[in-house]
Amino acid sequence: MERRGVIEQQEDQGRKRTPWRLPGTLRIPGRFAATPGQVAAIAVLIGAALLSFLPLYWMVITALQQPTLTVQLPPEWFPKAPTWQNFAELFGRPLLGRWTLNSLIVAGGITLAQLFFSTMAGYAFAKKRFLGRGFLFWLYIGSMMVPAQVTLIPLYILMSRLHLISTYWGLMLPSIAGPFGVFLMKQFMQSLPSELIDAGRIDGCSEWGIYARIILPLAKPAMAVLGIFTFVGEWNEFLWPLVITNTSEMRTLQVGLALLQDEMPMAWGVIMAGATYAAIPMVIVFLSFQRYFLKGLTVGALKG
Amino acid sequence: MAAFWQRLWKDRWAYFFLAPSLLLFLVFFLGPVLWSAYLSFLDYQVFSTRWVGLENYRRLAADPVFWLALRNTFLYTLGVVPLWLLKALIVAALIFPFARPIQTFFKSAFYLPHVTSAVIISLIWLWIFNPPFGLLNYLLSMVGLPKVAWLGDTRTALASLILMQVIMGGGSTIVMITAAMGSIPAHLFEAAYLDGATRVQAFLWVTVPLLRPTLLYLVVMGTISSFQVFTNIYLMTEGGPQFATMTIVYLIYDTAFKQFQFGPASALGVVLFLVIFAFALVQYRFLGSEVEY
Amino acid sequence: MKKFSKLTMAAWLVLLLTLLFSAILPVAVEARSTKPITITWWINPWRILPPGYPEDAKLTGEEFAKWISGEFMKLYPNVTVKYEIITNQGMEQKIAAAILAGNPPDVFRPLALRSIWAKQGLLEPIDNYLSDEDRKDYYDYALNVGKIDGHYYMFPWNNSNNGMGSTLLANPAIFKERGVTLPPLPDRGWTVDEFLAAAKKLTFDRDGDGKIDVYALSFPSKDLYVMMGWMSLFGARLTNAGETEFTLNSPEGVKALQFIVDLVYKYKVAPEGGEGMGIYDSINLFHQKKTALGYGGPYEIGRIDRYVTEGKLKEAFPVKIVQYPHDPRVGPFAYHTSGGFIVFKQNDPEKREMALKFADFVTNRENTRLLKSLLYITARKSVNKDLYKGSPFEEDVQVYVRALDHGIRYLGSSDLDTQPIEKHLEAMFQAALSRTKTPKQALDDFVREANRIVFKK
Repeated sequence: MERRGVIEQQEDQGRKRTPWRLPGTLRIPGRFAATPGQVAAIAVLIGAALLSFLPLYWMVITALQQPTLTVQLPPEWFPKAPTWQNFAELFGRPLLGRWTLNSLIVAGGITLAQLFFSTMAGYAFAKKRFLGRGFLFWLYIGSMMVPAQVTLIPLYILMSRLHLISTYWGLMLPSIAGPFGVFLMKQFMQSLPSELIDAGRIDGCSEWGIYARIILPLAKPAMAVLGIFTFVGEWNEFLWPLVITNTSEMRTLQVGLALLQDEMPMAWGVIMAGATYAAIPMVIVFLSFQRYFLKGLTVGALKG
Repeated sequence: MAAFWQRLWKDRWAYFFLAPSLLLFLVFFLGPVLWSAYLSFLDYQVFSTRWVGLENYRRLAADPVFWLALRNTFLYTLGVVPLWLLKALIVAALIFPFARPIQTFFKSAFYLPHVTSAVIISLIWLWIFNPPFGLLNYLLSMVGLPKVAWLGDTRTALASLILMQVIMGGGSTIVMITAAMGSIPAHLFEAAYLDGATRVQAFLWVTVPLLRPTLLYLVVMGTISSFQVFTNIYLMTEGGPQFATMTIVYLIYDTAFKQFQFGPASALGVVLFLVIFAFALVQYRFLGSEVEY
Repeated sequence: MKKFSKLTMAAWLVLLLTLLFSAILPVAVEARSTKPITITWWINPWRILPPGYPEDAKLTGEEFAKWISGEFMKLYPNVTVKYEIITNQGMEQKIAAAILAGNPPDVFRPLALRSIWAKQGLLEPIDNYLSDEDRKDYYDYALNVGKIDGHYYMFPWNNSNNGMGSTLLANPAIFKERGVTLPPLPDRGWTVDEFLAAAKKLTFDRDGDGKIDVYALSFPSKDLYVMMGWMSLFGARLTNAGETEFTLNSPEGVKALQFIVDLVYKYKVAPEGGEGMGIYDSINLFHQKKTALGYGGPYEIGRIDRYVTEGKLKEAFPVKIVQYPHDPRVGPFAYHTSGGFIVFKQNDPEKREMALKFADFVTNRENTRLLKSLLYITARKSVNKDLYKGSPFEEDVQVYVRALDHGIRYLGSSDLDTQPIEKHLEAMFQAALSRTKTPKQALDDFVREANRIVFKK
């Protein structure tokens, strides 16, 4: 009890020293002089980020650990004798390259298709009035509320009738048809000023021109977000690829890694090496997409 | 009739933009959804299918586990959605004023955990929560506190899952909110500050209202995905102990794939749909009132 | 109902025509038997060492499936055998989707045979493919796993479940350290009193810090077979003899559950927290030498060596198989079950023939012997007789096989579908182990719920 009291006191002191203020949303010009508020903000952010980052860190160090040391307590937070042994075991899998390629094709294909279809449909919902708009929109949202565990069987039967079992189309089509992207793009695009569209029309743009030359460039931040979410979500998808594929060659990386877990239950080192390997492409995708978020400011500039 | 066709013709560009997505959606998404709703009225066997009307629903209503699952699903959603959104909003607000490199750093730090699959996250947290070998109990024992069974105790199991979700979640939300914040015109803030608003006031009265479409999207999507929580349950608790973490979708999995009863499982899906739909309508009323859509 | 009878009629007609056809045109059938046939089969990863592989080959679980498919194709050149290794995770969804879409694999090694598949007419009965010799060779319990509504549906292969619920594992080093002798050969059986006395000695504080370092055993409440083993201590059974009612809350059942709870809270020979533990927690505790007793049969001994090769355990340690304790008035008991291969319904008689032949081939005497590399006990008496002769594990295998003589199917016969109540059974153990309910309450609640669900009472 005593010790707990001490910790609370320390926290209180911390609070007194740095008055709690929620920073506003004005961008601070590129100076590096930090206010006490900023220091506090950074401290809070680092604390919260560490907390959610910890499992990921543990994943990586476990992958680099000697296998015998993986379940010990306290964990070795900084591996003294890191090893590539677990990765060697992972790369010894004959089909690892093929699975990775499949995942890239499937997740990449779905992402591109989603970006194409969702921006068009999202634009229609956000900026056009048409008969059946409300109904169709609720149809999109409503259909998301039925869990995948229920639609799995009908979807599989449909795919089987279309002879798409164990094909890339079978892997991709259900996700391409998913309504999430349309919903996201619609929500984003409706905050774009409609005056821009009117201005474009006055300038003699065609309907397609307005979409392609005015809306799409402005939608880049949202497209980046959608792109990342879709890619990461599909890359990690497990159940559908498992159910729809019938040969080792058509498996995706996640299904292949799950097999590894089944073969060696509790082989933390190898499993975490697999997870680390699977995470790398997504880190790359995230970092390369994310610079587009920051271009969002142009919207305000145009309007102002 | 002529007016109807005229209207359609007038809207032709809207349909042009909508058509490709709509066509795919109808066939590969809505089709299976409607099919599963139809199944909920059937006694669906492999070689025989029989219309049983509301029988599957009646069976649900008589099953105490169903009511427990419904209650747990509500509790989980009510726990996760507000905490997760609040965390994301605060973090986004804290991040946003900083210069670009710092922003990028934090956004990545919060987002990166999302690159691991739910399976791996569950495995890691299983280890964290593990009573004899876990990190959490190890930390407790270091400060002299007794061990807790976490996922094994009816009192802490659901709360543990909520805690894990809130800690791990929010990364993508933060990315979305900061992206949306970037599109708020700066002159609105200048006006607010000229009127003597503090930063907190500016955040509450300028930022939050203008984020409304994004927040609405996040709340609706967060609700949908929380109501559909499955992977964590499947990998970590299997609905136990004593049904303390039994949720609707886990029950669907159990009914459909363990018991091979697709009619009742589909009925569960329909019930879940109705619950989420009601929630979404309320959320639209509440959050979407000033946003035209 | 009407629809059903039409279907039955159609099925009869097809059967009749087939019979007629094969009777009239035996020559034609013979001539066509070289037509190309493709058989698909699914199995989860079994790291069995196929013949011709070096003893220390690094296996991925695919080698055996590949090898045996190849061997069969050599015998029947017109047949193509395609295997698919499937994951345990998601297997239920995958097989259900395939069944309902009408394209299940032809041959399948299920994790657990679902009686509902046979009852819905999805499986080929194999009665005619079991030779008299086979019937004598297979243990009855193994054949009975596949017996549903009077027909056999499964080619038994292995004595299943890794021995969970059948026997216990003992760490002789800890026994020696505490001056406890192992129960004597050939049975390594012990009474409840002998067990309790040993358990008290086996629980101790090694480093003198006032905290228990080593417990006698642990209770993984999520593993129903291990737990149902303990429930059988005083002779309780899940149902009555006719399987018309759940009766686990009999006085013997209450006594057994009370004993389990007492081992944790009264005698303190098992750690608390069992309500949150699964079988891997128990395995881990045993491997870390934090319990003197673990669970399982010979396969679990093999697991230790495998973990050492994979680097997951620092060093191997010797392990002995011992029986569950027993009440002298009731006698010993062990869990009895078997796993094997099933064949899904076929329309093409030639393909049916080949699919059944393949399942038969995988489980024939010669190929069943391959289970040795996993230290599995097979479902065939003739194979078990000499499979482990001269092996370092011979003694323990004997203990295990002898324990199986007292076998019970803890969850009833295959005709009884206990799937819907298993989660309630697990909840019962958790309620008792966490002391949220008394053993009597927990059992009564379970039995009431189970009778309502399964027998609509």
